[in-house]
Amino acid sequence: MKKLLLITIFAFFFIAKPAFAALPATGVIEIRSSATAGNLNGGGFNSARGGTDYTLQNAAQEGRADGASVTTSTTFTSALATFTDAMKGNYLHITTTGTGAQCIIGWYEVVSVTDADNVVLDRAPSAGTGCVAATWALGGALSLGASGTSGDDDVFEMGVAGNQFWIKSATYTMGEVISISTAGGASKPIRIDGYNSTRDDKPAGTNRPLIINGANAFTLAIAWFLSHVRTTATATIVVTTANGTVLNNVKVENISTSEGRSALNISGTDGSIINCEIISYRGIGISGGGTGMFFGNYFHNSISGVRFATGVLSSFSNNIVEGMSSSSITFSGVNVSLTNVTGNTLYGSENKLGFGVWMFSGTTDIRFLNNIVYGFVTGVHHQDTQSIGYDNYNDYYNNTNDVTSAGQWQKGANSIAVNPSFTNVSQVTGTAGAFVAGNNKLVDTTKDFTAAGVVAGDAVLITAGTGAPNPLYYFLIDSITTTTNANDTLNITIPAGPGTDTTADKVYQITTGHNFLPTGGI
Amino acid sequence: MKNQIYILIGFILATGLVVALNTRDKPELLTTGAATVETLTNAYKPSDFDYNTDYSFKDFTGRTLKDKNLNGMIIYGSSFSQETPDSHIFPDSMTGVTFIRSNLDNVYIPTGNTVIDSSQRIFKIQNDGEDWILNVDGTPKEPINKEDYIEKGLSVDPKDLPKTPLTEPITTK
Repeated sequence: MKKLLLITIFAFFFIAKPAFAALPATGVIEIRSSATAGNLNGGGFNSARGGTDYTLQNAAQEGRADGASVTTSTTFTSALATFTDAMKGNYLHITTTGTGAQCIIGWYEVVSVTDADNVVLDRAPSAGTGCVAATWALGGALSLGASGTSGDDDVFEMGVAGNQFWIKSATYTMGEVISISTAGGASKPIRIDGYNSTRDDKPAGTNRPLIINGANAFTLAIAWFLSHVRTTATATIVVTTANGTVLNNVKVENISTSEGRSALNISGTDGSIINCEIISYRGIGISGGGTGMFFGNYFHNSISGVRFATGVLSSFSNNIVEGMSSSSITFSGVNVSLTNVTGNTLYGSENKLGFGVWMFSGTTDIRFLNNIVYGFVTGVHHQDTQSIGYDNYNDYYNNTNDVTSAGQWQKGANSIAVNPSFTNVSQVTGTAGAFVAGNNKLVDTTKDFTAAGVVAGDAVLITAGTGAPNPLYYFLIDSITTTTNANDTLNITIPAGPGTDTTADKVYQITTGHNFLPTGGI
Repeated sequence: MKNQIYILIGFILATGLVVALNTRDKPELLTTGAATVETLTNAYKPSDFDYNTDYSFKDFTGRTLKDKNLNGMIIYGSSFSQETPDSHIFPDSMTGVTFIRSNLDNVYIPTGNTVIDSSQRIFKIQNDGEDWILNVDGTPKEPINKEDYIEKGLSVDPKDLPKTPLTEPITTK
């Protein structure tokens, strides 16, 4: 009789067929900094199952350390748990391999609830010999800020085509390099969206979540869309795109003190960068050899805005590129594909700074139309004597030289020279700045920076003087305080201190206002 | 059948020994003595700690806080990452500070403080323009962004590093 009972028990487990299903395309994953640390919660929910969404809370709805399954069954058992039917559709996260290390760590969907002790998962949680005493959690948001098993990379690797990740506004210090390998689908991208207080409220400014990467990079995979977040890093590249990646309303900031680093790297084909703010204090805003379109972005305070490499087929339109110490746009390779550069405002400085466009030898097929080219030593430079590029309907104004020479770049017959009269853009300059021993200030006792219109968040370019940085770098102004006279001190720490030489001979310039809406007759 | 019986017995024993996650106590933090590194293995939320709000969940990447008095604070989820190994960004006299789930890469932590579940990697830019994790003797071990190297077909072996510095980082090309 006992033997019959055992056979019956085991038959219950064995008749369940091995499952090869995966997490659902309709899954939604919630990330909150206030959640249980270490990405230990369930984090995801599939509303198609008709259950209750338990991801909008900090702690798991249910979690125990007695999880089990037999062989390759999708039935997951916890004698200590109290599963309810409302839990279906929630993700269950197995966080340990259990006794005998037979449990597969990962996130699973609760497909159905059998009873208070048993649920059916989307796939078997054991590779074959059965899972015993796994620690698990169901419901609750994910935290980010973890490495290794259940680390931050694993969180994003969980995504499948069609999924939606929501990140609630807060500060997230990432625990490891993010290098996503899971691709979205052509018609079902995987979306990561920041939100402020309610999902899909499309936050702006500092209401967006801040993702701090440190030296870690964040690499997206095919067809991932990233929107409404801010992110910083000192890594070589802060964010790298892949085929079909879209970034929208993302602030990407490389705060490294090393040269040559980038905020964004365009890798793969058909990337789209839309309505983003891009800064790389000692490097390039966007680099890379992929292809894509760039629309409505704001680049500022870097050495170069964008640097297109060989073979890029791109559209660069309606962007504002402000104050690049070298060039706003650089075609660094032998670019021979049609590239449209249209409707942009390229701004150097009131006292003229750098190049608007720099084209290396061999660059052809650039269509340069309807742009404002303002405040450069040279507006457009091409290294070759050539006529394949095309220029027309642009406004060249306040440049030392609009182009290098007519032989190398020909302004179109309809290009004009009219002051665009930006709504609010001006410049503060000085020649008597001094650093301090603490390497975190620029003091000019002849200035009241606040009265002059400088605000925290502006950037100062120190161009000459004893101990001045070389080459030209921007420094973010953290705040304005008083040393000797009112508001005579710029406090600076990003990307580094400006220097320690106290001689009051530093020459510097600060662009203020930053409202480039033209009011002139153009 | 014998193996399956063992599995079932193991399963029954295990379920009888477990402790529910939500019944665990709050962590006992070490706040004195030499710099201590701890691992936080339990499922705590930030709200389980009385962390300092001025210094928690903040971005201090690349910054120095030498002029700040942080003594005795619990700091949760902030980044203090530096680009140069062994950066002394805190007061040498700092003591009693507990860092939890923070990024302390390349940061020197004075003795008398506690580090829990935080990143404390040591790395440095090499001739290929990229950050490499260092061995204890200061030699490069592997690139921080190792997966990117592998995907791009770049060597992750330190012996293949360029003899002279490249003009731009190798992964941005």
